[in-house]
This record gives sequence, C-alpha cells and structure tokens, in this order.
Amino acid sequence: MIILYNKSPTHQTHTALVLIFGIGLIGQEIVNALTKTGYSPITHNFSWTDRQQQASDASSIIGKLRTLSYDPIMDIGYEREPDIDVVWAAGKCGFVSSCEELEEEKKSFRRILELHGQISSSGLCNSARFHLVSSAGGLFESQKLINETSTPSPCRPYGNQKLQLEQLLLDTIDKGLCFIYRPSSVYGFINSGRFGLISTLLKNGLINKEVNILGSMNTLRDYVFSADIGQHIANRITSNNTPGSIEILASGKPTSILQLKLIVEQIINKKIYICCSSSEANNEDITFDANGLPVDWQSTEINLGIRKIYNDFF
Amino acid sequence: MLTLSTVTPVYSGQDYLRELVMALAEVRDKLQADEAPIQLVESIFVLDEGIDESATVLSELAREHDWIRILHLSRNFGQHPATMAGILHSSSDWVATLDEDLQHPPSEILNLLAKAVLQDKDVAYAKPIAAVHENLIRDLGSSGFKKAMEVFTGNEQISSFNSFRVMRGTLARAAASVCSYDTYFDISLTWFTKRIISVPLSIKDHRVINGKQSGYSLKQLLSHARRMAISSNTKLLRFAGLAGILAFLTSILFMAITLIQHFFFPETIDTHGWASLFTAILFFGGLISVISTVLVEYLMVAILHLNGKPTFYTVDRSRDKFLVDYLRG
Repeated sequence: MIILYNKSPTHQTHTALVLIFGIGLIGQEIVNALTKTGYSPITHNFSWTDRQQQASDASSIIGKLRTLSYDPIMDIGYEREPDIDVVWAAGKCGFVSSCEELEEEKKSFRRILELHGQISSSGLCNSARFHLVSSAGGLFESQKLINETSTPSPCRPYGNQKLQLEQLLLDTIDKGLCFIYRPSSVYGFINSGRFGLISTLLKNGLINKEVNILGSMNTLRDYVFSADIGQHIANRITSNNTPGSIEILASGKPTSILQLKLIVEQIINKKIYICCSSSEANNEDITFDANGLPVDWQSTEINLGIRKIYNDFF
Repeated sequence: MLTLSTVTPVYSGQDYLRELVMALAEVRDKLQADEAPIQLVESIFVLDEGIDESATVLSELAREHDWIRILHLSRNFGQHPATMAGILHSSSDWVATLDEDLQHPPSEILNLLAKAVLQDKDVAYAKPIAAVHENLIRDLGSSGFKKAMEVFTGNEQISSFNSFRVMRGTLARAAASVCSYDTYFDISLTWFTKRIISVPLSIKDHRVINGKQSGYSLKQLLSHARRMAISSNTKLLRFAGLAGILAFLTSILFMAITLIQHFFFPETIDTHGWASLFTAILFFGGLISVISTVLVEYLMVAILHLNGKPTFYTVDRSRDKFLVDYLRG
C-alpha cells in the first residue's frame, strides 16, 4: 500500500493523508494524479493474507499517520486534524474468479474497514473518508443503457462480491463519508497482473500472437481510461466539500470488439489475429447511458486513450 | 426484451425537431403500451455543427425526455459521418436512421422493422413511391446516378439506398466501424449483408418542396456521389481490361496476316509500313490496357482492404423469433 501526504502551502493548517490499498491499474493512477498536485508517496507494507501481520502493519500505519500529522519543524500538531482518505482500489479477482479467491479478498477488505475504524477511534481524525473502487461490469452484467437508477443484478460471484463490499462499506461507515465508484471496463497499461483486453490487443498484435476473446466481435462494452478514473478519484479526495456518493464512471459510448480491433490495428499498423470463444457466457452487451454520468467526469475518447498507451508503453 | 435505437443527423432542423421527437415519443409509447418484445430505448441526435438553433432545441427536448441523447460533432463532417457516429454510439439490437426534417415518418419505423424481421432480412430501406423532392432534376439525377452506379459497380443494392433505414444493430455498427472518412456507409453495409429489402413508402421532402433550402447543398450531394463511387468495386474497369485483351489478341491476328501477306503475297500490299504501324499501335495499346487493368485491380483490392471490407463476418439472427408474433399482429 502507499501513504500519500500533502504538506504543501495549501495545507498549512493541516495535513492531507491518503492511504491507497491496491496499486494496480487504478491505484497507480490515483497515486499519479495526487503526486501531481503536491502529494508525496511513502510505500508501506500491508500483508494481504497473514492476519497477525495485518494487525502489526495496521499499528505501524497508524503510527506513521500520527508522525505525518505533526509539523516536523515546530514539533507540534497542526491547527486542524488531518484530512484522511482511505482508498480501496485492490482486487486481484476478475469476472471468472472462484468463490474462494473472492472470499479471501473480502477478508482483506474487512481488515481495511477495521483499520479505518481504528484511525477514527485513535483520535487522529474523526471523519476519515472511504473510497471504494467497485465494478459496474460486475454489478450490471447483461444490462444495457445503465444509469444511476439501474438496479445492480450481478450474474456471477464476482459481481455479488462487489455488491457485498459496497453494502459492507455503507453498513459500517457513515454514508456521507463513503465514496463508491463503479467504473465500466477499465483499460490502461499495467506491468504485472491481469492484462486487459486493449493492452493484450496491443501487445499480441505487435508480436503477431493470437488474441483469445471470450465473446464475439459484436459484443459491446464501455471502455474507460484508467488515468481518467485516477484523476476523478483524486479530484474527489482533494475536494473536501463533496458529500459521499455512488458514481458510475463510464464513457457512455458502447464499443464492439470489432471496433477495438480496428482501432488497435490502425495504431500499430499491423493485423491482429483474434480467436473468439462463444462457449464462455461473457458475450452479453454491457452499455451505459451517457446522461447518467457525474457532471464533472471527464472521459478520454477511446482512440486517444489507446494511442496514449501505445505511445507511452510500447 | 429487444431494443431499438434511432439515429438522426442534425444540421438545420430547429423547425422540425420538436415535432420529430413527439412522433418518436408516440412510437415509444405505443411499444410500451403494447408491452412489445422490442422497446425504443434511445433516440440519438447527432449535431453536425449545425447552422441554426437546433442544439438549443435539442437540449430542451433532452431535459423533457430522458431517452434522448445528443452527440456534438466537433465540426461539420456531413450527413454520413454524422449518421455513423450516431450508429456507433447506439447499443440496440435494431437501429433506425431518419432525417431531421420529418420527411421520414417515425410511425413507419415499425413497418420497416416488420418487413425486415418477417422476411428474414438485416436491412430495410424505405423506397419512395413518388418523387421525393418534386424537383425533376434532383429526383432524376439521384435515381439516374444510382442506376448508373449499379451498372458500373455490379452492386445491385445501390438503387435501394435511402437514409430512412432500419438495420440490425450489430451489422450497422460493424459497417460503421470499418468506414474510413471517405467510405459510403451503405456500400459498407452491403459488405456485411445482402439481405436487404426495399419497402415502398410515401416520402416527401417538404422542406425542398416548400421552397426552403435543403439541409445539404449541391456540393455536398456531389461529394456524396463521389464517395459512393470510390467506395464501390469498379466492375467497369474489368470491361476496360477485357477490351484491352481483345485489342491485344486482334493485334496478334493482324500481325500474322501482315507477315503472311509480306512473305507470300507481297504484290497485294499497296503501301508499305501502314499495316505494321497499326498492328504495333493495337499491340501496345492492348498490352497497356491489360497491364493498367491488372494494376488498378490490385489497387482496388488494396483500397477495399484499407476501407475495411471484411473477409467474413458472423451474425446472430436467433432473437428475431421473439418479434415475429408482435410484428405480424
């Protein structure tokens, strides 16, 4: 996990602290966006599996937060208690993950909620906010033109788990402090872990390797650029006046696999070999209503986003 | 439940949009009241950097109807690119496209859909039963050009093309995906399906008939025609190639006759050199025609490949059965 702190001139009266759990595609983008606004990162250990180690790590994190809440020059506390935001952007599980894998993730999430409680009860800060990155695809699988009034109806354990995490958060923490983000299909570049479809198309296209797709060329999805999500969450963190909310983060433009293939082919100037597997039940369209997105949400056009990944990383 | 989207490119429709949306709302209400297996879930209006207050009118309408979506193109791209943008933003099983000026009655969308589904087609075009613009030059020019293009390109669907169409969503999006900036959308559609039907309808362009300016100028209409020509296969070129081969073979025959005459019947030659010269011209002219045709054929293959003409494409028509009973009734 990463702790980010901000002692820039804009925070003369207090410190702003952000704890990010999960430095994957979205977590890393949140870190990037916050560091651009003056936050400094400190990497800290947090065990995902060892319960005893987790307790020890949690104490160590609180100690670190306490240190960062004090003015190192004056050696006294700031006028105001620190702003603390806890971000859960973790999750190694995907659409096809098993119940056991998901259960493990849920346990880790509970542990982070406990840590949030410990932070609040430690006297450091009374109103630490919690940001949960959920999944619109998991919650609304097979639905079309999804908007803020759509009812989640998960079709598989992955979606059920996401819904449970959201409920757990809302049951545990005051709703005004809960920020739940439901991104659609996220794309971006990641060095490790699961490669998304777009990165795989780019990577395999460049090395003339076949891409296996669980769906058909007609399958519609809504793709959002990871940097846009990182920026949006960073905006919510840095804006103290925003009340908690549940937001769908999507582009509002459905894109078929065929379109993606053509866009990537045009960018890399090579043909991509695709093998569609219709045996998996993953070829249902999932699309979003552009009218139901947050007013301050900015989504990068997909062509531009893919070109950016290609230019930056390939 | 299946879904239906409509797409309307907007350029100068401020006087018509409200009425158009009301007519679309009637279709939507009817489907809802009938609890039909297909519902009109969105009407996409693509603002093609219009010249009037269409954007303001649409914004008001979007506030009143949550199923209206507005897309703003960054500049004026033309009717076809605007239509394609709308199609690519749609997500329905069926997509209907219609003009802004009410010449395409929304009430006929279900008629087009019924014809497509019941006859197992993928695309249903409206076919005007009388002159659309009541302007002899424009109506004859349009139909004449399409007929000529049918002959030149060998694409028998061209005269069916009309901007009032109902298409299977997956194929419409696939066709729009592969279009480059100069591809004619309907030509691209024929790369994906030949199951096309024309449905006779009474269509009148009242804007032009009433003396108002059409949304698209002569220059834009010519550009339209050019785009259709360059998106199509050039069957005519093959005729040119065939003529070249004939000229080449004729030149060989003439050459043989000239040589026989020269060696065996020299007394029959009045003027020396003319026959050889004509034969040589025929020989090289024919050869150049054949080579040029081969080169252009290669070029056409490359252009069509670049334009995205697919090698194959798959389609799922299995859900049409859910519509049959409703559309028959």
